[in-house]
Order: sequence, then C-alpha cells, then structure tokens
Amino acid sequence: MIDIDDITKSFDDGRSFAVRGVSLRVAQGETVVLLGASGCGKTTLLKLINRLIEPTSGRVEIDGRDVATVDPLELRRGIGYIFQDIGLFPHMSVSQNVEITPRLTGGTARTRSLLEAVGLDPDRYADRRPRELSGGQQQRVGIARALAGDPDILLMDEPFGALDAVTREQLQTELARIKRELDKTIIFVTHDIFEAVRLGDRIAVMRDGVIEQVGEAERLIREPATEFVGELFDHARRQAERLTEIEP
Amino acid sequence: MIRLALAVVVLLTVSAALAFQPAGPIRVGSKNFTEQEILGEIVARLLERGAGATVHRRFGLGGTEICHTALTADQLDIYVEYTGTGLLNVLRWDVIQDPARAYLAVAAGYRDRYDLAWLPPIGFNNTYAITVRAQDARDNGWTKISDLAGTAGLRAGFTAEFMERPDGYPGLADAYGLEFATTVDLDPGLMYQAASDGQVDVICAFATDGRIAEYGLRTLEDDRAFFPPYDAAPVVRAELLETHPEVRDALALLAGAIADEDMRAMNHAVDVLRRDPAEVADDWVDAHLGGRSQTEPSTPDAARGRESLFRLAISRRAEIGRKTLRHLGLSAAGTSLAVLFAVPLGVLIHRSKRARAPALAATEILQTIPSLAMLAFLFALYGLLGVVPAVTALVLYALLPIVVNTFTGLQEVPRSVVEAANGVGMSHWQRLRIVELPLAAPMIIAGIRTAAVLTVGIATLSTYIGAGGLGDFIARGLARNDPRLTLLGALPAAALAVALSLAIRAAQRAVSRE
Repeated sequence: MIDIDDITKSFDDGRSFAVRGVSLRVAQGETVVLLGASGCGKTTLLKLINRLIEPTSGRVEIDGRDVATVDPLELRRGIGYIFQDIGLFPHMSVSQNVEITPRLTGGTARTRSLLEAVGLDPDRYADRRPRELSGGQQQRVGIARALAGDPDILLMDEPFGALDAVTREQLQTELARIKRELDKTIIFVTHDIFEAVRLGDRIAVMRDGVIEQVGEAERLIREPATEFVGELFDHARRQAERLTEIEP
Repeated sequence: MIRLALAVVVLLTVSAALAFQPAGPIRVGSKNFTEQEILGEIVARLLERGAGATVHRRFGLGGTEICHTALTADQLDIYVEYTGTGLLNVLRWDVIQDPARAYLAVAAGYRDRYDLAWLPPIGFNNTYAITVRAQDARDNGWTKISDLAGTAGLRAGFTAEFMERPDGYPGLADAYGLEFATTVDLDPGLMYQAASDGQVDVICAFATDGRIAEYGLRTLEDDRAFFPPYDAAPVVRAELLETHPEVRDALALLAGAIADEDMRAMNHAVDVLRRDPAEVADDWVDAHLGGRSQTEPSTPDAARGRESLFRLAISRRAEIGRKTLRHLGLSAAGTSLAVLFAVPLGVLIHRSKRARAPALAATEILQTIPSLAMLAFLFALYGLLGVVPAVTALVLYALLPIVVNTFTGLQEVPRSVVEAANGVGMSHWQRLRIVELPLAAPMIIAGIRTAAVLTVGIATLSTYIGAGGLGDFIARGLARNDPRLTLLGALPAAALAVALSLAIRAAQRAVSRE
C-alpha cells in the first residue's frame, strides 16, 4: 500500500509549486492513474514516490514505512519504474537490460519467462540490441526490466505516450493482463483520458500541482467535483461522439 | 684452516675488484651540433681508452642552458663549453676580449659559483663569424663587418640563440650600427645552405664550421672586436676530478691539441663528406693515442657520403630498431599515463559544472606551450635529464584530447538512459561504470588515438633533453643538413604514428561491436 500524505514540492524555494499538498492512498493490487496535462505535476508526484525527487514537505509511506528512512537505491531497486523514453541501455542486449536490477541486488532473473510475460519470444529477442527493436518491442523490454526485481509496485510515467495508436492498444491490453496475473500495485501517469479510463481502477485528475478529484471513472463522469473535471470528460465525450457519427 | 685462507683470498679479491672498478659510468654530454658531437665523442673515447672508464653518452642536448643545468644538477659530468658563452650567457658577466684573461675569469667564476672546473683550452676559437656569399663580398668590396653598415635591404638569417644572446644580434647591431631589412630565425644546420641559395644574405656562421668554404661563403672580419673569444674547453664537475683523478690525466691530451683548421676539417668531414662523427672522433683519438680502437671497420668516406637512404637504413637497422622501440616506449608511457589522469578529469568536469571551465582552460593552455619550452622547463624543474621530464611533457600534451573526448562522450549519453539508470536504482558509481563509461568508450578511445599520434610527434623533440628516440636521427640530420638522417628518424616516426592509430582504431571497433 502506498500512502502519500500532504506532499509538496517546490523547485524554486516556494515561489511556485510543482506539487502542492497532495494526499493519495493506493491499495495493494490497485491501479491509480494520474491524469493531467503536461506540467500539472503528475511526473513529479511519481518521482517523489521512489525518491528520484525529494519532497519540500509531507511524506510517502509504503506498507507503513516512511520512504525517507529507506536507502534511496534500495527503494528504487524494489520498485519497477517505466517511462516514456524507455531508456534501454543501448550497449546491452535485451536479456542484459532485463537482468540489470537483479544484477544490482545480486539476485537472479527469470529472463525467459519475463520476456514471455511481455509477449516477446525469448529465442528471437534475448540476444538482440535495443536498436534492432521497434518502439513497441522496446517498451515491452522496458516493462520486463521493471518486473525483473519482482517489485510489488510499478511506477509508469506515460509509458505508451510515444507509441502509435495500434501498438499502444496492444500494450494496454498486455498491461491489463499482467496486472491481473501478477497482482501489482500500479501508479500510471498519462494525459490520455481513454487510457486512464481503460487502465485505472481509480483516476486522480491533476491540475496545477493539486489533485482535483480522485475516484472511479464512473463517479468522475457522473459527479465531477470541479468544473475542470466536468469539462475534461465532456470534451472527451464530444471527441468520441464525433468518431461514432461517421458510419463506416 | 684452508677454508679460512680461501675465504680471505676471495674477500681480498672481491674488495680489490671493487676498489679498482670505476664506480658508475662517467656521463659525457654535448649540445646539438656537429662540432659538439665530435668533441663529445673524443672526450668519451679518451676516457674509455685512456682512463678505462665506462662512459654514458648524452649527446645532442638542446643548448647551453640544458647542458649547464644538467652539470649543476648532477645529471652530467662533463661537456665541452666555449669561454665566451660561459662568460656572457652563464655567468652573465661582461665581454673580456683577451682570450687568456677570459679563460681565467670564466674558470674562476664557474669554480666559485657552481663548483665546476674548466680543463685547459682545446686550442681552437669557435667564434661567431658574420658571413656573406663570397660573390657579394667581391662585388661590394666587403672585407669587414663595418662594411655592411651602409648597405640597405640586407636579409639576415641568425640562429635562435644568436638572436637572444647579449653577444649576439642586439649587441652586434649596436656595435656596428647595422640595420637589416629582415631577420629570420634559422636552424644552425640550415643557415649555410640558406645563404648559399640566396634565401638570406648574412648569417652568423660558426668560425670552425666546415661548410663556409664549401657553400661559397666568406667570413667578414670583426674589425670592432665585438665578439669575445670562444675558446673550447671541457667543463667537469669538480667532485668527479677529486674522485677520479685519472679523468684529468686522460683529457690532458686535449690541451691545445685541436687548432681552428683541425676542427674545421673534422666538421667538414661530417657535414660535407657525411662521415660519422664517432668515426671522425675515433680517427683523432687513434692519431693522438696510438693503436686502433675496437670499433667496426669504417666504410670509405666517399662511399659513405653517397650511400642511398635505403643502404643507410640497412646498415643502421639495429640502431633504428632500438630508437623506434624507445620512441614507442616514450609515446606509450606518455599516452597511458595521460589516460590515468585525463579520464577521471573528464568525469569530474562532466559531473561538476564549476570545475569545467577552469579544468578545460588549464589543459588548453598546456597544449599551447611550445614543446621545446615545455621540455626545457620540466628539465629545469626536475633537474633530471632524459625519460622523466620527456614523459611528463608527453602526458601534459596528451591530456587535452582525452579530457575533451571523455567529457563529450559522457555528455552525449542520452538523457533517457541516465534517467533509466537512476530509475533502476544505480548509484553514481554504478551508473558511471555500467552505463556512462561504456557508452562514452568509443569517443574516449578516439581521444586516446589522437593523443597517441600527438605524442609520437612531440616525442621527436625529447632528444633535446637526452631522452633518446627517433628524434636523435632527426636532430642530427638537421644539425648536419643531411636529409637522409632526418628521414631515418621521420619515416619510422610516421610509420609508428600510423601503426598506433590503426591499432587503437581496431580496439575502438572491437569495443563498439561489443
């Protein structure tokens, strides 16, 4: 369980705030999507969880332990982290990339089953270099790398943002399956409302460093707490309707 | 009892052997021109054959300053100096025109100030001689230096040392009211040819140089007695004369033994007839000491002077091999030591923005220091001749390309990869070792390659502080204006640079394929 308690981050000594007074609880096995436009603070909030960024005030607890008391390297090695730029190590093979976290902690990785879990044939891909893979395949490796340490928590920062629509949908399906099979707690950042609805057990709408509303998609649509949340979903509905008006 | 006697006998024999064995080699030096090399060789052979000493030769040192400092720093025991040079350039006293008084003054000055002894003068006076083309002298009726005073448009070619010495160009121009249209710095080995070819009109020849007559040149009389006497004499560390009195005896033979024309003939034999200075020296020692030395039989002069580069290379292949190996050793040592300093420095300036500008500026400034100046400075700093200051200089020059390439290579590691490394929980050190350095490796190796080629080039200058290598051939070739000798050093040096570059590139490819 992740418990974010009144956390604030300012990069300029309090003149402005990337994240301001945010509290959020994520239950074991739950997927919460942070939804918002770029610059709303959702990535900063994600990085506060595994201490890639240190908070100005407030705190984060994981399973009752304040993360500020945990060695940041140990903390990160125990949390899977996936982001839009993927960042595979270009000089290492696919299997070496997947095995990096176990290598740091001295454990072993079940590389074959991990690659199979993300839909890559180990015999074909294990020894390839990242540059020989498509963008979608690279992000599958990125997910396998994040899963290799068998973490309870996955932090995903717009992982499918750079992929084409078809590949994105395939990977969303894969992720939904992985989530079911592996029972991970996931915090997923996106600016894509359809992705948020599809993957999130709950959605946290963020704007200007604060959470406007948290809840299941249905509730956000039926009872928007703020004007912004209401407009966000109205806007999405109008887009979807424009597509359905065109009969094939 | 018998055993005890035996032990005593053995002990006595050993200690006797130790007592009579000359302790440590005597280090004989010379400056980097032909006459100095012949004289150095004569001194060396007299010590070997006359005193049974072991001699270590450190010839071709880059000028008075380096030779003198080497003596005072106990890096050298003996070399031949000239009274005028000692008086004006080392002691920095005024000109003394009378040769005998000049000698006494310089000997007293050296003894008191440096604990160095001047042995008796060898006999010849190698004064600077203002020299013009014989044809010009005839056409214009020039016989003495003051005749040049009224002539406009003359181009002078002087050695770098002459340009700066108090008894050189500044004083000369003053004393005679000379004004040249242009003055250029020339290598002493090249100025005779330059005058003969009409590139320059006036040169500061050495009176004992064999090429004055050979190149159709004529020396003008120093009618205002501007130049002091430059009587040659061996300068020795006084301590050596005390511990090795036989040195004085062995060199006594040199006193007054070589007149101006003798020295000119020996210089001529090397510079014009292309004989080996060691052979010319050997002939002189044979004639004065009697007997034949143990050196290899010599090729006839005429044949030797015209030997093709190829034949010359074949006949000196062992020496070329030795010098190439030494050269490789210097360059490799300089480059690999530079890697040890430059890669961490590159990492530091990648990490610390504050260190970046000053560290880059410092390595850039190092690069702009002229190589010879750097060598002379490091030699003076260490008080050591040879490999140590030479390799230090190479390290300093090799820093820049490696530092810059390490820095650039690290900066070019994609942001996303660095972020991923942090995200999976790598420490700074792990990120550097596992991700950043491997990704920057091709760039770093390219920098090492540049540095290696650079050091092969610069190492050719380490001959001037006695570090050996292929520069020995190049400097001798320049001093004697013998392009074959220059090529004997330059061609293997070029080959070495290319070979090193290719080898490192192969390593780079292997790393990139990884």
